[in-house]
Order: sequence, then structure tokens, then C-alpha cells
Amino acid sequence: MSLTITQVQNDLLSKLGLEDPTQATDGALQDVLIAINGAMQQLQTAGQDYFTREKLSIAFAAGTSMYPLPQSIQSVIGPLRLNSGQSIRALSSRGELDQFDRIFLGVSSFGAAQGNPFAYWIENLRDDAGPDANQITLHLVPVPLNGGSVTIEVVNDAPTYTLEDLVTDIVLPIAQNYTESIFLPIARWLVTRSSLFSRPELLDGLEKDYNNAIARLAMAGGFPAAVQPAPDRAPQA
Amino acid sequence: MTTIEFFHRIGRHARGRDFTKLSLSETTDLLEASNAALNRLYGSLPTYFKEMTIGFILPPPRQINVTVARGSDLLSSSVFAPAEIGRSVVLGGDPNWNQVLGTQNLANPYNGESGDVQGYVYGDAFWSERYPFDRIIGNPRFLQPGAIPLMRSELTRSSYASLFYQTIGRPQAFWTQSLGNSQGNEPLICMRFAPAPDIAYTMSVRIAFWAMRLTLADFTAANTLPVPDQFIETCLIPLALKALMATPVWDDTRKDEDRIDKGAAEAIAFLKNQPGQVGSPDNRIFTPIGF
Repeated sequence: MSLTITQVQNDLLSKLGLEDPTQATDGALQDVLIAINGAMQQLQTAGQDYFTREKLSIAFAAGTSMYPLPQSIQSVIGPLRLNSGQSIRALSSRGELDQFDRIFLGVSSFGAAQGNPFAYWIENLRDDAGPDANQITLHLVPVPLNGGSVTIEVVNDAPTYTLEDLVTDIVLPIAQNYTESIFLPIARWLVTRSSLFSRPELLDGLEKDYNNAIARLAMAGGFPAAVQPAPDRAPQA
Repeated sequence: MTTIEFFHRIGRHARGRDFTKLSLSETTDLLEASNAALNRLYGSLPTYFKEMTIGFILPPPRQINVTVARGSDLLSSSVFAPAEIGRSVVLGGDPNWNQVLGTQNLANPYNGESGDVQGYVYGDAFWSERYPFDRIIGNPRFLQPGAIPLMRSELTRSSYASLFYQTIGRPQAFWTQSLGNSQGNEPLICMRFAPAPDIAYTMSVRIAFWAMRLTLADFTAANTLPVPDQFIETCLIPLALKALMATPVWDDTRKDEDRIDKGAAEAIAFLKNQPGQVGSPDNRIFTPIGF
């Protein structure tokens, strides 16, 4: 079982020289929280092959081709699957979507007529109004003639913890429970950026641990990708 | 072999090495290579692999009402069916026989008074909408018992058919006419008959077709490839891989282009070595069966 967030907090506070967590100021806890969230974000952006892939089912209705996805999603991984089991293909550009019928079906009209979807386009737009500045929209083409559902694989945003979470027994969601060998070294390195960090004798060791953790991340399929060079497939980005 | 099995085989040489992960644009690269291979395969095989006998009907005259202006070869609306392209049409007020070139296009300018006119379309032409057309092989023949075979006029440059031009009755002669494919006209070629049929006649003719094109629908439906089994692994796949090399989706990290080139050359040689006739030898030196 992975470590709880309180256990990680206590470990990071000790790197700031605070062996007794009850003595930690709000500023120290804030720096610890930044290190924990920062490390989680590094793991979550380590690539789709590092246990970041999750399934999401989206229902679609006849006549509607555009579906905004939850803003917690940071990227979509293809190909998508209809509930019939059929894979559908990614389009490469907005232009292919706008001229779908002209490019792929050999007709003269712009856009897409109604039919059974066999392709999709993932549109990434900025949206400052929402909880995240990025809004991903799924476009299905041809425009669905009938309702159904599509299963997509996504990478969600990393969990974001708050000060209230530090006193709970939340278990950190670290893949394969590699908390000590991958997560903690990254978080420890990040906490050295705290203005409260006053143990320079630890820096060399922490930096080595951090580099080892990044190397292990690569071995486990994370960033950089285990198979290089990764195929250039923009729609899956 | 189904189209899905085939795409999987050649898709292993595409970037990502798994055709199920390709984008829609990348799948068109697979299609492009597949169709190129199909046509190269059938282009190297004896014609009998492309041949079939198809039936058709030369219909009786059909009355039409159109609006047309003097000197124009464009009608005000689409009154002709695509199947009528190539057929003779005679419009009221113009004694000249004209020809259908499109659903609202005439081959020659209308030489009569402008306005609404009545006319007739004669069923004296046929072209095949089935599969990419290659060429006509045999003479068309009537399917009615005892019907007299048609005379071919091609060798005499239509001189025989000209005896029956602009007459109506039972067709006695036929010839082929090109309709100007390079000018955007379709079809490439049609068969003309004279006299123009007075009633409906059922006929058949041997025609060679190129292979059916694979389309995006074949990525969904597991259709059977239009290729005899013995030519799939030996020829179609090597030729498709060769064609795939010229597309953006080719995985060039394996550096196996030389082997692919050699495989394609061997495939063409194999195709060229197929027997020229499917049945017993049929030539003027009476070659025994088996040779």
C-alpha cells in the first residue's frame, strides 16, 4: 500500500528541519503541499504509458456531433471505440473536420452529413471561465444518425490537494506503489525550493535520488517514453 | 482474406505498426497502396481474370419535355438519367439527331426554335456503371432465342453501322464511341447500336473490369478481397508494401526497402507467368491440353 498524504507531509517537513509536524507553520505546510502537488503533476505528465490512461464513456445523440469533455481531462488518447466495438479514427486537423465529406467521402459539400460516426476530432481550446483553462471538445463525424456511446481513453489532470487534506489518511495514488522510489525523491527535491529549507548538506543526496527517480520513471514506461522515438501522431496528443 | 486481415498485414509496415491506431488520413495511405497494388496485380494478369459477361437492356424510346434555347447544348434541367448518357436524342423543332452527353447536356447545339419542346431519347447506347471499366472483349448478343448476332462496325470505321444511322428498329450493328474522358466527360466509352431500338431488347456482352476499389468502408466491414487466394501472399501483399513505401505513413525505421523492392519484382514475375488462358488452349496450332 502506498503512503498516506500525512506520512509524506511528515517526511517533507523533516527535510525542512521540522521533525515535529505540530510545530509546522502554515507557510511550511504550504511549501510541502506545493511539493506534493508538483510531484503528482510530474507523474501525471510522464506520458500515457505511465499508468495515466483512464476510460471514459460519452453518450452521443442523433444529430449532435460536438461534445465538450469534463475539464479535468488534460488529453485524449485514441483510437476511440463505439459501443458496437468498432474503432473510429482520428482526424489530423480542424481543416479535415471542416471538409470531412469533401476529403473522405468525395462529395462537394462542406462539413459532415449524418451517418454512422467513423472518425473524430479532438479540439483543444482555452477557456478561462472554467475550472481549468483548457476545454477539450470531441467532434464525431459523420454526424451521428442514431444515439449511442463512445469509449475514450483519457489522461486526467493530477489530483490537487489542499491544506485540509494534509491531516487526512488519503493514500496517494502512485502507480505500483512506487511512492518511496519515485514519488518521494521528486517531492523531496521540490521541497528544497522552500524558503524554509535550511539543510544544504542534504542537497547532493536529494539531487541524486531525484535523478534516480526520473531514471526509474523512464524504465517504468514514463517520460521519456520507453520506446523512442515515439510515433508522431498529433491527434493523440 | 478479408480487407481487415489485409490492412493488418500491410499496416505492420506503417508508422506505429498497428493499423488500428492510424488516423483517418493515414488510413487513406493504406487505401492508396492497396488500390495501387490491386490495379498492378490485375494489370499483370491475363485478361480472363478481369472478364465477366454482363446483361443489359436497350430500352424503347422515352418521351421527354425540355426547355432549350437555339444554339445551346445545355438544357434547362436534368432530364436525362446517367444511364442515358451516350444515347441518341431527337428534340422537336430540330431535325438533327443529337446525343446525350450529361444529365442536362447535349453533344451538339440545339438547332430549333427556343422554348419548350418535346423529344425522344432512344436506347441505342450502353455503358457499364459496374466497377472500373477496362475494355469490351466480345460482341454483344441478343438473349432472345434465334436472334441474329450483331455485326461489329469498328473495323470498318462505322461504315456498316452508317447504313442504319438515324433509323429505328431492331439493332443490327454496334460500335464503340469514346466520350471525352480527358474533358471530364463520363463514362470513358459507350457501346452504340443502330438502328435505335424500337422496343426493349435484352442483351449481354463480355467486358473486362479493373478491380473493385477498396474504400474507407472496408476499414469497418470485413469484406473479402477481390483477389484469388493464390495471389494474395504471393503478389498482392508484396505489391501493396511496395506502394506503401511511397506514402507518408511508411515506417522507414526498418530499412527494409530493398527486400520490399525485390518482393514486388518477384510478384510481378509470378503474375506474368500465369497461363494465358483459363480453359484448354485455344489457338491456331492446336496446342494439346496441359501445355
